[in-house]
Amino acid sequence: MVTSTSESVDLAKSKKKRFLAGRALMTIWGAIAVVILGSFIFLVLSSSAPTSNAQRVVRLEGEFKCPSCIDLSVAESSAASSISIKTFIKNEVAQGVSDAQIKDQLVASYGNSILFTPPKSGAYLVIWALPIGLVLLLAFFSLRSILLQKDTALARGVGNFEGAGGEEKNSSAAGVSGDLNLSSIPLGVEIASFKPRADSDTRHDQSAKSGSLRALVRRATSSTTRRYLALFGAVFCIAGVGLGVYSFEQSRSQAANLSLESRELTQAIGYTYSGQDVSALRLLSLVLRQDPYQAQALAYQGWLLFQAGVKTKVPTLVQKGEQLVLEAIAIQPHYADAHGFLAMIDLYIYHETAQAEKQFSEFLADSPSVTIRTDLSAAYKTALSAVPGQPAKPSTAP
Amino acid sequence: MSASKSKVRTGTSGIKWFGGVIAVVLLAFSIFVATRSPASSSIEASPIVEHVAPAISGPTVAGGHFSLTNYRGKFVLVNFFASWCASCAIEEPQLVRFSKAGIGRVLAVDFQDENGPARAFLSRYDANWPAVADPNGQIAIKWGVSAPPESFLISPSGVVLTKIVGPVTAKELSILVQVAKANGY
Repeated sequence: MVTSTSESVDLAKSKKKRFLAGRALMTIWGAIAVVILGSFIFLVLSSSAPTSNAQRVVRLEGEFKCPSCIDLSVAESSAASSISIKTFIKNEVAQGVSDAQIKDQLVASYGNSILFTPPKSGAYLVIWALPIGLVLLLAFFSLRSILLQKDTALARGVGNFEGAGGEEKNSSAAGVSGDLNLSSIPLGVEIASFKPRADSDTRHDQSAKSGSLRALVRRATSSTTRRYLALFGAVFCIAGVGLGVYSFEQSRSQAANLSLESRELTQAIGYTYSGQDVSALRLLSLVLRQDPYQAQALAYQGWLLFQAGVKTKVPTLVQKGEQLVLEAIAIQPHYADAHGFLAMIDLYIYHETAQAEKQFSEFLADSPSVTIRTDLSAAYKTALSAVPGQPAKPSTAP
Repeated sequence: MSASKSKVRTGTSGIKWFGGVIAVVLLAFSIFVATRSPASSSIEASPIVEHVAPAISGPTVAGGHFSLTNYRGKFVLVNFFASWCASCAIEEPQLVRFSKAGIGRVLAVDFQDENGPARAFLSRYDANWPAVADPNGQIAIKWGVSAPPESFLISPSGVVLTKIVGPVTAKELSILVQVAKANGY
């Protein structure tokens, strides 16, 4: 009886402690929410406040990147291009041009990369909406938790009161629920019949018996600490996953030589397919300046020069084109696109169907991308049918 | 009592749900960020390429006046340079070769410079093309120029064909013009 009373007091103390810890947690969350909300309101109010021209100039200078620097705003930089932009902003502001128009003009010349903050439109909108959405969700759940916390505290208070009363009332009787005959009181019926899903104390006892690591952790820590540990654990897991993905990407990009050079190459090939041959050639020249033996760049440059030579009837360009494609094959014998280009050259220039056929078979065997496979196969069929004295045969072309 | 327990459970599951949402969002964001290339090394095409060239019109460093429209009907290389720019000095002989080959015209824009040094610079390399003065870099801004030398190849109809960052060679320019011609410009 004495034991059960002290257990009851311990339980009440433990519950009170948990309740206070929970309330402290809620207070912290509430404080964070207030700070975030306050900052947001301050930002909105300060941005909408009327400003002088000088203030506008200073603010705008901070909103644009220095085009010739890395991670410096125009305001922070003294580079020639930044000085030009500072002058531009000052002149435009003096003429009464709006901030949006100034931004539009600079974006039209330099692209979105001139902006220090991403634009608030299109896919960029997600970046802006995400934190606001999270803050709203956080506020919603915090409020909900606070309200529930109050209900829980009330319920616990009633439970304790009823439990204590029951104990006093039934101390002499042999109760079905042991020392505390809860079923003898109206509210006690619910408590006695209620099977907690995983009440922390019950879990504590059960897991303590199991002797597992989880049980040891449970025994050593309070539920609030466990919550914090779970939160930190989740953050570390997410950070770990992010780091893992990043490392994987890094190693993959290193393996595939996905450097600036290869991005230029990818962009150049993209330009080739979209008909922007001049821009493609310019980028290919840059790639070859960095690596004169880059097979893909050689092949594509050769193919573009060959086509330009055919169109403008300049034999030197045609020869140069063929030579570059051959060089690409010599460097990378299984580069599909180069074989495809050579097949076309063989057909166009030499009308060598057998040779072209061989090259085209190699092209198909070397697993070309779907785009080049489709494009070149169609062009090959057309070219084959145009060869004098040769019947049109699609052969291995799909 | 059971109702309040149920509320507690709902509250707990709500917190878990919120935690789950945060975890998913952070994970998605981590993956998104990790798979992007660094902004410092990304290549962004010039927004003015494939568009009508911005106007260039104004006083030249030699004291005259010149407009880009004077060259309409010819391939033009608009070259942003400065007498204080070391890379421009490397590039200049190549531009002279390109100009003398008659493949296209050159129009220079003297970026954030003074007329005297710019004239001396051009005469040192026997560069006889017009050079429009841009002492405050306001023409350069319209063309999205970051630092000289930067050049733009303009088609006879006045469309920007490509932007060239850094020194360019006469051979490269002649090939670019030939390819542009082959593409119907």
